[in-house]
Amino acid sequence: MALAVFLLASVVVSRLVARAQRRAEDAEARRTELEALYDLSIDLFAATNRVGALGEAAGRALRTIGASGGGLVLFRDGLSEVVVSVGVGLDARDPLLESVRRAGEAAEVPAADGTRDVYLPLAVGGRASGVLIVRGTRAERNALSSVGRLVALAVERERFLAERAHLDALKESDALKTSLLRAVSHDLRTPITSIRLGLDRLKRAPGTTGIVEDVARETERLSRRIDNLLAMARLDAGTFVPRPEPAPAADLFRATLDALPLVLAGRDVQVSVDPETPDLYVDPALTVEILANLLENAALAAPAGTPLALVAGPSPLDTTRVRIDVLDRGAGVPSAIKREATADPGDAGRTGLGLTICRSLAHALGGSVCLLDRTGGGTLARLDLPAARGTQEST
Amino acid sequence: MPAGALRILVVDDDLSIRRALSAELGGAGYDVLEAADGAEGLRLFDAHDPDLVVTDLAMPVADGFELVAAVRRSGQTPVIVLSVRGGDADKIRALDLGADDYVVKPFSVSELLARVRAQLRRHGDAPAASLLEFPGLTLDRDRRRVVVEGREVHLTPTELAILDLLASQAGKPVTIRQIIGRVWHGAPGTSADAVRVHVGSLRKKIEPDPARPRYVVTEPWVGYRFVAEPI
Repeated sequence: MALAVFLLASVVVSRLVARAQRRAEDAEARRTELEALYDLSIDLFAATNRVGALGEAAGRALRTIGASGGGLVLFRDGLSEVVVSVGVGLDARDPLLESVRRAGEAAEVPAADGTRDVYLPLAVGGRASGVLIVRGTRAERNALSSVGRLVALAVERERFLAERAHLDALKESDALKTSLLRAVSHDLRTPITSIRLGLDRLKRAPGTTGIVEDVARETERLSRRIDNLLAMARLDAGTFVPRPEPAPAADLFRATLDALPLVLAGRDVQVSVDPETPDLYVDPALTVEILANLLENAALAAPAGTPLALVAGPSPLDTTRVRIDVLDRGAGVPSAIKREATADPGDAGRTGLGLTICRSLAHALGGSVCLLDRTGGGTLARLDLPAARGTQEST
Repeated sequence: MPAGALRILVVDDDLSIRRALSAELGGAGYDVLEAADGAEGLRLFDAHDPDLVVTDLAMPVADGFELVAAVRRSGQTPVIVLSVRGGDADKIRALDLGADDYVVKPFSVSELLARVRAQLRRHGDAPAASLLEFPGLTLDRDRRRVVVEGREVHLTPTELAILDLLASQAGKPVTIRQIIGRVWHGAPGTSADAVRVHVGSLRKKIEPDPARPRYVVTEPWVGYRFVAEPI
């Protein structure tokens, strides 16, 4: 009896000891897992402050949880991309990936040796951004889920870091473009200024013939072309924002004529502004640039002695627009430009830089330019621009 | 150097521009001093008391703004600044600091000489002349009468105040802020648009050909300028 009691007791005790030992082992395993998770979280968040470090960290995560292999697949723009692959190569077209992404739940594939392959969806706030594949693991599902959540957060963080780096780069390149354009602008205009001042002096020197006038006129053109190209470059670089203000057409016309003293020397330019014309709402400098280009083209196209005209009026169909016409009695719209209307836009070489620039600048002002054959011969360049509200001169 | 010639201080860090300006202004009969930066400009200004200053804005040592402010602190010597295209914020800043006018690079000699003459004349004028006479336009400030091409035109008090402000400083750009300050006495809520409406109706009354304004022109982003030269 005593023996039986002893035996029973020893069985109970040994079971209790075994249970305690199992619990101790479990606790030890949990502790190891927790430690691993802790290390992993440090690894993922403290050590990956740079873009691109996620891959290495995910690889270490797999080793930490005792996986024989696996990797990280991210979904980007509707495509699966293998970011990390440890051991047997991963296939981005693995059908399990797609079903895990859709369901948003983990999938397990048991193996004969008691291990399993686990596909963990990486989801932060709903949609899965990728899948962590853990091959040949014996780890608890809970531990794996924790790892999955950590890696998911790390993926989001990496995405954020990449975005921020991209924004920083954009800002930096904008600042660079702006300062570059400013330097180019200064370096081009300073010599033009001294050339002009020198030419003014040469003009008065005895014995100089028409050649100084020719050089002066070409310098004026060059100067304007530089203005055009710098304006285009600024618009293109996104570093230039037009600054519109209410501008009376008469002032824009006056500034346009002032900008072309040599091109228009000896030419008759008829200027008329319909009394009902509202002020325009435009960037005055850009508008004068467009008008100067159009008027210069008109002066080049029309025979000497024929008058040019600048005409402003309210747009007949739209009270919020102003129409400005630049007219000449030249040969009409060049056939190359007529062809261009139907084919191959952007071919500036064939139709001249001037019109292409005018179109871009007008577009930036919320307007448009078109060329028409003028009744009775010649070209009519029509500029359509926004009108200012409430500041009409006809009050 | 002609005896009794008016003295002009030219400040620009670009040697070729400085040399060209010096030659042109010298050729026009002025006595010219040259400085390569704002600090040197201010030294020459203090030492030689020029009648007018022409200065670039962007310079390595003490820029044009500092020079404008320093010149204005010491008196009413007219200052013309050399601005670059697109530097409208700079222009307004220089005008608000007390600059009298600007020309935009690249400018012509005749343009600069005209501005120089206008500033020297304005500066030499007796203050508060009661009769302002321009080709085709007379403003009798005491009787508050305006005659254009021999006919009296009737202006509202606001239009008259604007015309008086602009014509009494003929040739000088006047900023919208200055107009609001002088005509509306800085009344809060006075907008640039209100100024534009009144200037618009003033122009309708005094400009013989509205398509070709000859008295009041817009200075984009800045304000207005009365352009006719006094008789």
